[in-house]
Amino acid sequence: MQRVRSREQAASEDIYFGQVVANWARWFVIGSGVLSILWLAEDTAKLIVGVLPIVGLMAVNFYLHGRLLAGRPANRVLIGIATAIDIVLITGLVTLWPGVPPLDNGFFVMYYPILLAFAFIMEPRISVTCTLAVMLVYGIAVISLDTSVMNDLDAVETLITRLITICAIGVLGSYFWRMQRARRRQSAALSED
Amino acid sequence: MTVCQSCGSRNDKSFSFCTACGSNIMVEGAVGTDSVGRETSQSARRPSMWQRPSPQGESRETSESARRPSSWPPAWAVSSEDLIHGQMVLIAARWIFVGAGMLLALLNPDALGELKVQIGLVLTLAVANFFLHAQVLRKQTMPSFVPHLASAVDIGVITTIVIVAGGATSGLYVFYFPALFAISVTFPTGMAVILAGSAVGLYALVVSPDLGGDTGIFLVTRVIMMIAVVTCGMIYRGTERDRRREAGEPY
Repeated sequence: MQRVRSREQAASEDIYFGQVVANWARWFVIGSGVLSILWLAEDTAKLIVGVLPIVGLMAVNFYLHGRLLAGRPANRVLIGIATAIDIVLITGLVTLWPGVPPLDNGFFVMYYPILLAFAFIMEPRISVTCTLAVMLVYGIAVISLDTSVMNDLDAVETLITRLITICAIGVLGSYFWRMQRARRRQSAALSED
Repeated sequence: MTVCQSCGSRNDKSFSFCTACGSNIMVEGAVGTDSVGRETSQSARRPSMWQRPSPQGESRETSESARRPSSWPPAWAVSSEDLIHGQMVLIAARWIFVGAGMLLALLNPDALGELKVQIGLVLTLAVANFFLHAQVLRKQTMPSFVPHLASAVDIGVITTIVIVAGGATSGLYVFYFPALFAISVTFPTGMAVILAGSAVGLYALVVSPDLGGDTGIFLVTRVIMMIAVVTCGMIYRGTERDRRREAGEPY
């Protein structure tokens, strides 16, 4: 492999090597989703309806992980689409879960590993944009579905805390990504000398 | 130019991965073309994935392996390099915690006793983090136990704040996530497992009385996602280490 890499070349290597993290993050979300459905389902119909999106996500992850194991990893677009599906499903879980207001719904924690994995794969400008988009989507979803949140200072505090930590995970992941790239570049330069 | 077998895109021959689809284009038998358009075999051109021929035609791997012992660099050196680089992530995560903690404490002050504990802990952490940050900025070496101890203190502070703010009902558990991420990418696997395991175990202990309630599944999900963040961090750290090692880069 060439030591001194162009930006484009380094980005494609990052996508190749980083996507295993995204696959594992998704397996954790799937595992947690299956557990939640089995824990909370009270009748057969709810179990079937609840398990269908999880099966869909499993199929997506089998495909992506299988491609990686076969040495034909997903490209940037496919990873972006898969992450968007993850985020939509998690947001759906948070907002549509029956009987629980979005702010009281604890499934938002599934955003953390997904955003972290994305930050490890993509360049900071893309991953930070994705993090900001998730913050925006989650914030709007919580406030628009339960407007009483804005009148309750404790609820506002809870929402701000969550948004700060979602931002922290995305930004710290990107920071570490930059650090690793700088480290590779530096050690390659040292080796060249 | 090298033609990617997966998507057919043409890439510069120096590229290792297709810039269009991300596939490894240095695999055995991949087709390349030379300057006049004749097809060349990748396996013949590049005998090893990470190998680059030296100007004399001798592979870098061969020439460097003669100079270095087989286990170079030693594991301890790699770990300490990881610690130096990861320390900045730990410090950044701690500054985020300090800033957010202070903002939230002042935005919506709790009962006096609770507020005193929060502000006291956050300010202590800020002073300690300033000291650590200054050491890193001045490129001063510090004993290796210091970052370990600082991370253990982080876990202790977050757990204390969660307990003071109501245990399972407290929303401040989210501060575990950046802290756990920083631990997972900074420390060697064994130490990261011990520190992160302690944090997750402590939190599980704090919320265990409420596990049977209506919100039990949310508590379980929190713990699973904490484990997920740690696992992702450790996998990525391992992948990066392997990349550097396979490329023959010293650190």
